[in-house]
Amino acid sequence: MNITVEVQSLSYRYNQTNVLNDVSFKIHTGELICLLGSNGAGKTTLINLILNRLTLLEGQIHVFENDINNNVKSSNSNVAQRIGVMLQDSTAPERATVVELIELFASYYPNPLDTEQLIIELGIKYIEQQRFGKLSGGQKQIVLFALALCGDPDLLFLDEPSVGMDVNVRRTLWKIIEELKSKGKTIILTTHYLGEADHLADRILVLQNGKIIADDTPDVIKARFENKHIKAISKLSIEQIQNLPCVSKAQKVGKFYEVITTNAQNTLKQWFVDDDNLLDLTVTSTNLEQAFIQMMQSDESDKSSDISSKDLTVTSTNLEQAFIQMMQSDESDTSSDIPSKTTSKTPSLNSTIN
Amino acid sequence: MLIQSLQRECVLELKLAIREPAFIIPTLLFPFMFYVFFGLLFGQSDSQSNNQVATYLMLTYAVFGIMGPSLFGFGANIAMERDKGWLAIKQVSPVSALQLMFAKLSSALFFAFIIILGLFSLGVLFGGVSLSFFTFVNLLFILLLGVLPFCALGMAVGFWVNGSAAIAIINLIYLPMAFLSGLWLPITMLPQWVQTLAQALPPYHLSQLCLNVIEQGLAQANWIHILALVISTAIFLAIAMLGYKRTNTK
Repeated sequence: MNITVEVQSLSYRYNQTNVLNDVSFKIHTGELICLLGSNGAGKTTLINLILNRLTLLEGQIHVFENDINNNVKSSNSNVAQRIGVMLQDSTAPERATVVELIELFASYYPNPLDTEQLIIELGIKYIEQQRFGKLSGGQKQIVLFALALCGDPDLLFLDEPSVGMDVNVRRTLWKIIEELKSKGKTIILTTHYLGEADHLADRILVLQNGKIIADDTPDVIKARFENKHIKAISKLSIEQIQNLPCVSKAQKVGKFYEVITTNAQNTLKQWFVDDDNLLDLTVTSTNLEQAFIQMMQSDESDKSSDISSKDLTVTSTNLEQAFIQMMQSDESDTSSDIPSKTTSKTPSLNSTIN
Repeated sequence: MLIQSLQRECVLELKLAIREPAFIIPTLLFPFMFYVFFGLLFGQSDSQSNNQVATYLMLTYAVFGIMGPSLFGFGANIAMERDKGWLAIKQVSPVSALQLMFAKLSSALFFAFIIILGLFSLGVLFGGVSLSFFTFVNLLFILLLGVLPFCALGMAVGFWVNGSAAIAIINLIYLPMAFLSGLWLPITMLPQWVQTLAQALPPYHLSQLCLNVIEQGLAQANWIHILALVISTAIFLAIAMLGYKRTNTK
């Protein structure tokens, strides 16, 4: 498979802080990769470096086998003809109409798409004569998406494309992105919506503090996030807790056990069998932020048991109540199934990182 | 393809300017209004010298007039496009910076042309200005070329200052510079120190070039004025280029 983008030991410093720290990855032709990370993780800096909007200081970037370097302008203009870009925080002039903008941008490229057809495909025919400034946030995003597409590029950069889009517009966006993928286009997408990454990406790169802390398929990444925290007072020993099903980490903090499990249902089922007097039970979905923190910690050191108490302050009252109810009902029948209500809150990928 | 793209760029640039009342009204109205007030209504009893004043001020207000679309069209627009990220989208697209600047220049020239024609018509119709056709064409040519230093100055402001500050800063440059260069009142009516200062201001040199054509200038050599205009254009362009590089890599 051909490689469209190759980033090698890329570091970037700004005001003495490492924005990017030794980042390396390859993007194959036809791949859709998603850059995921909280604000300030370095996503936009990375994209700006690949686009040559920032001066490369350390490391190497190749796009279509062209060395991206501020000093080589000719190869950069060849690259520009083959890429389409949707930048974050970029808007078009308010007094230009949609069709004027798209036709202008199409004229920049050697082999542009048919603008009329593009407008119809994107479902923006009805607003084509409207001025950009009069459009809603989602409509503006779709028009900016059209500007990225109209040159029929081989490589697309979409920096948070779905911001401000309603469900229908987002669906159109996803549909078009999938069509582009099927045409063999390479796409780099950044998003806050894990659902979007899950739906579209072949691969997810997770950036945290300028480092790539995960580079895997959505399924693998998702599995990492599907942990739950259980906090409770129990008479069992720490060894017994660690041996409960699906427990990945357990520790005792004060009188509480803090447990991370890949499947709260299975863990708790056995826990209730072993200890029918579980007190102060709290089950928390690890949100993405926590998952990142965990990953970071396991990256930096091997303190595998680190779950800072901070991670556990966020609790879900509903789940707590559900478990209290369950405990009460368990007193009569310890082996009863955990009410389905408690499992309804699986950590869905729709949660946002931001 | 190149020509078609350039044409689209120029047409859209012009359309955007025309759709912006905050740009179009002051840039078109002020030169005409000022000329009518100070050049035509303030006339003297003696019709001979009256015509002379009308001719003199027609040219200095023409210089004032062409400065507006050049300074604002470049300065305020570029600053605004930078703020909105519109310039950034274009910078990562294959379009050349040259095309973008040419479109702005063509728009500035278009408005300059209207302003010059308007002032010439007012002068001929109401000020008794009588010059040969060749002289008019000659003046038109000088004035149109004369937009260049002001476009460069606008560009320098636009690439260094943000959108909201740009309009204020351009006004701070535009209006005092016009007055101190003797565009509103003849330079000879201004104090000596202003006349000395004016030697450093591009509008002074452009107005003197025009006035030399009708033999109402201060009789400095034309090459001095041309040299001054070329040097100031080069300095503004250099400042603008530094700013452009900075925005490109920001």
